[in-house]
Amino acid sequence: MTKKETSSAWFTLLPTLPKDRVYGMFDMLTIQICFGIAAWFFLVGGFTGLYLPAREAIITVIFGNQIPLFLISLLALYSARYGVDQWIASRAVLGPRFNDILLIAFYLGSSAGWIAYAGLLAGNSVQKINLEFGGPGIISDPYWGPVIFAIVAILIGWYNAYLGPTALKWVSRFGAIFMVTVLLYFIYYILVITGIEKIFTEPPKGDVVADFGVPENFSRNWALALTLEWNVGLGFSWAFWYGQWTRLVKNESAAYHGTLWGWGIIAAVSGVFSALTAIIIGSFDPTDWILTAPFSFAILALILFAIANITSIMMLIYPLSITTVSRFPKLKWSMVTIIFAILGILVSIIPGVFERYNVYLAIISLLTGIYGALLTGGYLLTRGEFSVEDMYDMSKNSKYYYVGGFNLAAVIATIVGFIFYLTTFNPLTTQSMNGLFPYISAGIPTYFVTLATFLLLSKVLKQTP
Amino acid sequence: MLKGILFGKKKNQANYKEILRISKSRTEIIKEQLHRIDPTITNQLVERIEYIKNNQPLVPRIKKRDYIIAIVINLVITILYFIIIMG
Repeated sequence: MTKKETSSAWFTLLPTLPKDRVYGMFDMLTIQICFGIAAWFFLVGGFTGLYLPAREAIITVIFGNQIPLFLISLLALYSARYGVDQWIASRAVLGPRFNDILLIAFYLGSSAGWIAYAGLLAGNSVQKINLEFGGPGIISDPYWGPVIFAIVAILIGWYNAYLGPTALKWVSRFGAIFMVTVLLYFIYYILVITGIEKIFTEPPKGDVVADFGVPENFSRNWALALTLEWNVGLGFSWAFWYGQWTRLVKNESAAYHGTLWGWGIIAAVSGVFSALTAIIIGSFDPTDWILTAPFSFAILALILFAIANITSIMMLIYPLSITTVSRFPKLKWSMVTIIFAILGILVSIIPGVFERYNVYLAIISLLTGIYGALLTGGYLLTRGEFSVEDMYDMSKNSKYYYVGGFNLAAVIATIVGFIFYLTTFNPLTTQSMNGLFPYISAGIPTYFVTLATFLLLSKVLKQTP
Repeated sequence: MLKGILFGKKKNQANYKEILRISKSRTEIIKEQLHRIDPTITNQLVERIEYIKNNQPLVPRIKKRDYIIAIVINLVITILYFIIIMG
């Protein structure tokens, strides 16, 4: 096989063969760390620290992200085993038409928002620090500062994503080590300067009763349940993003552990950092703490936020693009990557998106938790044995065509999961719909309800992948 | 019994022919679905699918110890979470 043929699997729908696999365990960890550490983790950690004391906030960030990742960890194995894109693999479980609906409406539809969030958080930090230390006027502007930086970050991210897996490997090696080192140093600094005892006895500065209108006598339950829900939302949100990376891995163990710990407990360092800063200063945005620290910290923090978000943007655009060219193979790689960059820039320009982040995460928790449950169920039913030929064949001849392109067991389980979630918790109004929510969260129970329904119906309807 | 064997053999042969027909047309179907893209890619796809079918596992499989490591660490995190929250 020529070099050209080998590399073409990185930019087309072709399944990867061993020669195309460029990532080992270390690379999978660093890539997922770079993908994970970004706006989403800083914000979720910040909101957790705003409503919970330090001890509870730290364990909520770790548990809330790690456990959902563990529950959906089998998703890493589909593409590692067969070399196909994630959304080609999930046709085997969902049926090609149901898979297309989820792919287009939810994965492609919502993903420009992630790019914008990553760009805007970095831009927001740059604007605040620039304003504080008297930098150029245009960057200090509260609207144009973040937007200009977001556009620059998205363009840099786009270029690296366009270059492909090898460029991303080298960027992530340096980026991940730098970010984890700086974050651990910041956490150490906070604990030493502020004092461990003070941090762990400081009450949270946010109030769920005032902010969300929950009953005062249940305020602790609500604070625990809401913060857990936000973290679980982030943990499950990775369900859409496994196979685009694990198809490039040299062995299944690296695929499994790289995604499990890279997005989980290691990237959670950034969530712990922002939780601690929220406890100290009472703001969900860690940039506000940076402004109170020495000037050298401001420079370091600027580099940290820039690297965190630019690397995440590249880690978003590459999988989005590989999934798109896998589904629509007529499209050219360069054109697809540019489209996602432009969409990210457009969403960045819309004011007010940033403030609605919690609601966005809760919705994503609903969708991705269900999708993760279905694919976990598919793996359990088949022990991970699939027909790669039938995954690519979208005609009626495919054994994964089911009924009209829909696996009824998956469709019904999805509806049941949706109903269960929405009758438990309304993510738009943060209301408990049946009184269960402060005692149970919504995302994790929905995962189990969906999984159980899918497994049962697959047996009853005899629609096993 | 002889009738049963003969009938069974004929049925098996018919099934085998059907499988062959489907298998043969499958490549054509995939090619047809992708006819508008670069024919080199289409041919490579068919070659690669054949390769994967005949060379499983493609990469070393996950081992039981990987699952055990994951279960143990996540169990510890879960226990810690509930101890701290209950406390």
